[in-house]
Amino acid sequence: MKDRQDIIAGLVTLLLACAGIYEAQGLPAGVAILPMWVLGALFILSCIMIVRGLFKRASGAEGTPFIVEPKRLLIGIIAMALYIIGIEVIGFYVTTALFIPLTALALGFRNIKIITITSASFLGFVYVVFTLIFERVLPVSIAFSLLIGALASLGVDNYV
Amino acid sequence: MFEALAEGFTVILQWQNLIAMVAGVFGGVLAGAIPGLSATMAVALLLPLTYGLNPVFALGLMAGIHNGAAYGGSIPAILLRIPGTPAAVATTFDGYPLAMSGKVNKALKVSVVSSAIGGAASAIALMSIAPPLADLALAFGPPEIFWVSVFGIASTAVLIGKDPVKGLISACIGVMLGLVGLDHVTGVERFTLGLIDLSGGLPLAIVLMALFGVPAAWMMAEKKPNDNLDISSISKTKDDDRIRDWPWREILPAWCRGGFLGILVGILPGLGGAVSSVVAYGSQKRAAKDPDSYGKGNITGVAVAECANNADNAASMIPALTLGIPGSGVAAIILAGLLIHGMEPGPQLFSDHPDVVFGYMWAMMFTSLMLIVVGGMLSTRVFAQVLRVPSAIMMPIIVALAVIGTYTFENNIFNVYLLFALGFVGYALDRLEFPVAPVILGLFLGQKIEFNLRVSLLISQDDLSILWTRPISIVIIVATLLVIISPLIRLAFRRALRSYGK
Repeated sequence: MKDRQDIIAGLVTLLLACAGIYEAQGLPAGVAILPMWVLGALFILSCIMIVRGLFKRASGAEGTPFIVEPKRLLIGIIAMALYIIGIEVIGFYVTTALFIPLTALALGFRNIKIITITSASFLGFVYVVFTLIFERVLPVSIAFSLLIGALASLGVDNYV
Repeated sequence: MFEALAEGFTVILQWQNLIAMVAGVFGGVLAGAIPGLSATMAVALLLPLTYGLNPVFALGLMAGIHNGAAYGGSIPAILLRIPGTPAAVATTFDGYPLAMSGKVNKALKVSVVSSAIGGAASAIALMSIAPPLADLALAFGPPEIFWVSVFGIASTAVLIGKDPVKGLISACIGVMLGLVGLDHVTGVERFTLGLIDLSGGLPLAIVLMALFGVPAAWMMAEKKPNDNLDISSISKTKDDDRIRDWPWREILPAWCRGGFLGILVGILPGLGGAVSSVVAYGSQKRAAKDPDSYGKGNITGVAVAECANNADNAASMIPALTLGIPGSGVAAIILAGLLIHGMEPGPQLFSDHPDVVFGYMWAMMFTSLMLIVVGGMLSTRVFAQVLRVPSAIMMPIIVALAVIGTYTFENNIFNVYLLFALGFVGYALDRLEFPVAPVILGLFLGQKIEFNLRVSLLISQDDLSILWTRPISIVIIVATLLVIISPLIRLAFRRALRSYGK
């Protein structure tokens, strides 16, 4: 299994090296010199990995799978994707307040007390450290921005 | 040098810097205590807090995390035989048997004091070795800097993981990521995939969070919902842990050995705390009068391992600060922190910003000593409880921290999508056992290598022989080649030994 993974990984890096060399060929000589050296090295190393994997595969060695829990991993990836979209659309604090408990529940954790305490503590920490102390700007919702824009166009920006 | 040391001492003792160090140590111990979180990841996730702050404050915070995490890893190593960080592997050998025999407090106390001693010794080494080395490095021209950077990447790539080929592929990927964006000399765009947001290059801080934070979070998602660590089985017997009853005749030489070997291994790029603690533990066991007692709960085993893995910390910053070559993932992030604050690591740093660089050295010293208070007083009460936090809760928190850090870097939502995309690269690298540190080093040093290569070629009017005709360059080339072929030499040596044995 591991050797098959190594062969596939080697093929992917080999393809990337070839694509990079193709693009670097269109660059001016000075700009292309280091990329060509590095991509050349990547090409050779990828070939070594593929050949080595083929030899080991012949010996029949076994290894661990690439993804241990596909379903749970997918939940984690989708949750993160929705979180990123959410902070852009409905703002950071609201999305985070939903993201932590919903992700924990989706991953099968059912202790509501711990989920609530942890989510509230984390949001409090972020608010105090990032917003109050370090005055960092966190994403506000598009809806909120549109509302401010609409109010400003109506001449009520002094109240916002 | 002494004036600069005094200046750094005054700066680091300002109250806000002291607070940063305490917070860093606390955060570092916390991160180190949670298996799956490393010092590298903790510094990467907390780096965004330092944007726009005083650099000494930022470096004080990072020094605290660096030292705190190196100790924090010993807490689950002793309580559960699970090293919180790779550097705590050797601590499990004797720490866990001690805990099982009811000597939890003693093991944790010896661990924290040994960590503090190792860290302080390492800080002294940093203060005494780095300034003269920086003076020496000032004599380096562009060809030498080019080769020193190549040596740094190659040695880390070959030595850090199990597989040198994968390490070198990681390094190539890192250098290529570092070359994405506008060429600084001609303004030509390279490898941007037509995305205008990439013309400024890939921000190091975001790549760090993508390669360390996101894969760790996704791997936590893969664990079972209540997959926290059970510490209820640990014996709660009150053990006799008075300091005057410690076996000082064994512990003091163990600290000397651990400190010396930790500093030595730390200076060499790419080896890290795990190697230093295992090497020191093995050396201590071989030299001991009762080697059979090791692995069965010998307190000296905990002392030597913890002293060595903390002695690695400040020492790993010696090549980083003087030559701009980060010897470890944490060192790379700390150098990234310097860059974010507008300071170029390298010998000029010592003359341009002595308050910052010497303040940082003092911070490494003070945060080591702070471990005794923060780690010692609170470890058994607070940090052991951290082990109860389930992975299903930790996962979204790590994602949220990575997203905050990425967004606040430039207030740009594109970077958050970049984080998500690079997270897949990080996950694949991790699962396929490609070491991530060479990627970071390559990313960090890629532009430096290219700049010095181009300047060298300008000086020589495109004559490549400038790279291998200067004496210092020749020495570094030989060292680089030796490092690259060292796995083959080791293999040949092992085969020769085996055939000799037969």
